[in-house]
Amino acid sequence: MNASRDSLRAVLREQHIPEPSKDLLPRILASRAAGARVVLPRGGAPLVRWRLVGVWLAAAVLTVLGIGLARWLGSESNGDASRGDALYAALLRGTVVWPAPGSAQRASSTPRRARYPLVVEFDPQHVTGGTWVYERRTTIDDVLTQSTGRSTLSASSVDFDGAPAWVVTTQRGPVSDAHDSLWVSRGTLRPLRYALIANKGRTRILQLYSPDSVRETIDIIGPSGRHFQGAVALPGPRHAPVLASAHSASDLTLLTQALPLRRGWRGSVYTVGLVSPGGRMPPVTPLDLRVTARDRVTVPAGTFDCWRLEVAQPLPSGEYRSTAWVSVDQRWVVKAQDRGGDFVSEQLLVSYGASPSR
Amino acid sequence: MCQPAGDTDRLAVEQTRAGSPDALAELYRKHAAALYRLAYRLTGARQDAEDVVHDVFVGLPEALHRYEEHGNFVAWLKRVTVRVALMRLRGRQRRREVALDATRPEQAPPAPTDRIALDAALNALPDPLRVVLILKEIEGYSHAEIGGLLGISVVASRVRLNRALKRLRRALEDGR
Repeated sequence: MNASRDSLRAVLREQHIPEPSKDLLPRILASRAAGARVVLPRGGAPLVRWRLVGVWLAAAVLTVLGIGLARWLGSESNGDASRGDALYAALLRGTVVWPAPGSAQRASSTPRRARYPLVVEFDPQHVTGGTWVYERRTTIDDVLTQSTGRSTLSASSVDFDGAPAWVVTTQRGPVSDAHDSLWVSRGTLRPLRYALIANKGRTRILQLYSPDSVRETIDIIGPSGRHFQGAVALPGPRHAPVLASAHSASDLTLLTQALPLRRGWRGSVYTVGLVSPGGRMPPVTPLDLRVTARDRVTVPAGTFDCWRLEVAQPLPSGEYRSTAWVSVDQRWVVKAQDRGGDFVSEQLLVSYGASPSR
Repeated sequence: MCQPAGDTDRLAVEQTRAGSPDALAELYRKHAAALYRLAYRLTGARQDAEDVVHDVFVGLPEALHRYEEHGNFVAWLKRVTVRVALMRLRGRQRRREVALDATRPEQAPPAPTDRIALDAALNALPDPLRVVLILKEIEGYSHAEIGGLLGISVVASRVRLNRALKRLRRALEDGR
């Protein structure tokens, strides 16, 4: 075909293009209604892909709510949005799709059984405070790697009602304005108090822990504000560590410092999510931890000799797995990895700074 | 190539920006077909094109806060679509589900042999060349605009276009 430029152009314009699916518009509207958002590139700005549908929704739920690992607590890929998801999405947006207050009350719940013996042998004296900065990366379709910001986890020694405690704060970067603080007993590594403020102060979550239970209040402030409260018993012996506000495997850093990790080590701990709202995700679930290998891992903070710690969490939708690489010497989480259907989310240790109150 | 935003668009834009699903649907019905064609030409795959359009419209209500009313809405929308499509191209191996598939007789109206060959040749072009060709020859962007969109110089845009045309002609001649 010796097409001239014009004829070539004409033929190009006549290229047959298949019709888009008829359900494209309904899918778009459904995505919006489910709270999915896509940050589109600005004109003239560098090209950065912000594909948030699915991945970001899950990440944002984690980030804002502090309910612990949406990836661990409920990434069910195939539709069937539960009321719990709707609640979390509502929290995220600051809207008021909530259950009736009566249904939000939960006096108790039977957690799923832990796979391994509960961790009762640990060394809380080995835990040090400090500041761990992680870079978050998401790789989609094995090709696109995108930095999604940094998160900073800080642990400082404080006094809590006359007893020594750690206060752990987490800043999760530009995705969220959420601020949370977790007070943890230095002796038992059990949570004492957890507070989260998000959505520009409109969402407030407070959890108060006793040796055997947790009470929670959630306040949504605004014209359609609501108040919820609930309580749940904590399973297991009172001297076993419990996690709260575990958003990702990197949040295990305080716990892993106290664990006697070695080849073949395994143990389970319970983690607490949201207590008040109903939904598919139970308020307390076990994390089953297992050392599966010893790896040499290079992250921005350096190269570390690490235990590979496989983390499994039984969920109603199936078992969710992630991996943490814990440095052999300091027992910090230097790398954490979650895998979804078409993405891998990683947190890599960028730096560590010692706390003045170690 | 660019149409000024009409009054109906202006109203729909305003309502979409305020979060109205109906207004978003209205904008979709009015502009999605053109954006889909653009995305399809750039990505060469139906699924990718649908994903691009999906992302554009899911992100549109928030993105409209950055759109200036006096600007050309359709042109702005197309630029956004181009950028999202380019991100998709850069971010992954382009699925070569192939324009050829889409032009098979059982799936499309009967097409002249030349056009089938052209689709195949177009699809075989490297992305950087094909994108310039599409933007220049079909969408009517200037080399300066293409340079701005792709982050390349005007000269580079011209060079890529010439290379694309040469490859296209060669591929078509070889296929004869």
